Amino acid sequence: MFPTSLRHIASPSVAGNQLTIGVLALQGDVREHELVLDDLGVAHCQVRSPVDLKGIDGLIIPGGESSVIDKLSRIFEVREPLISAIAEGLPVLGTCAGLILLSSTVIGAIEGQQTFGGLDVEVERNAFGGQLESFESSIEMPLIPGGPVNAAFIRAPIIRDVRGCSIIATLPNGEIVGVRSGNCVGIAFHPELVGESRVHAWWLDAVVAGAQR
Amino acid sequence: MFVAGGVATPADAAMMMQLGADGVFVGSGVFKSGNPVERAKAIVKATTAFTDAAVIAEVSRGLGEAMVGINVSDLPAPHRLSERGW
Repeated sequence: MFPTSLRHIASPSVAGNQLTIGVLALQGDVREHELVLDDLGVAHCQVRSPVDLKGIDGLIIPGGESSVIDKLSRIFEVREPLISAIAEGLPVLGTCAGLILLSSTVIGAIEGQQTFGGLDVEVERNAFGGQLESFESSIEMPLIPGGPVNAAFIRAPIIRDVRGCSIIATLPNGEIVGVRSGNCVGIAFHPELVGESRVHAWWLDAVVAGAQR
Repeated sequence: MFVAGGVATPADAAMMMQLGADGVFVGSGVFKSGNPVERAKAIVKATTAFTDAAVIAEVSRGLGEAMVGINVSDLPAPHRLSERGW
């Protein structure tokens, strides 16, 4: 829809903190993440340029096409400031392509594809196959109260080597689809496309608000 | 929702995004223009930064000729899909 303006609404999930969450809006399912943040009563803004990174308390890197977001981040010169912000502790949530962009190593990357880093993991792009292999599932996330989490996997990646990161989500067959390392959380799936707001609520409370305490 | 058809300028693409499109397909708008490579890059930038009038204005400069539509009256009769309605 027409450009969203900053909404300054206190978040019930982060008790008293007036947080503003940036959504990297170069390409991908930006709007769907904004709708989840609206549901949670959290202010948000779109991030396309270095100046947009000022004043945000956390950043969501949406799903989309990781190689396109990579290229656009260089064209709009937001790549380097973003890498610095992540290194300085900016809380980040990457979903699907966002997970790939946070990973240190990518299997199946296109020629010249770069990532921002933040999670020292190896991910495989399109690990389930092409678009026809996309699916919805319920997955185990012990950190999230209220039972299995609804998730859409769309040409999703899989984490093949977690190295030093903590596993936060797995499929029933044991495949690793969510990791955390400090300020960075990456999940291979889209909760925001299937009416699931608990992953965002957890991230806001545990990672974003946690960084402010 | 993706949109396609008749998009010839960066501003066209940005307007589609402002109206609520998720993405824009551009074919002949690029290939039938004076400088397809630069126009394609400009349309990508304008689609990404669709709320930023300064970016849209900047990328719109120096692109050469845009795709020009063809009036039905200029088409030879055998090439027209219909003889009615114009």
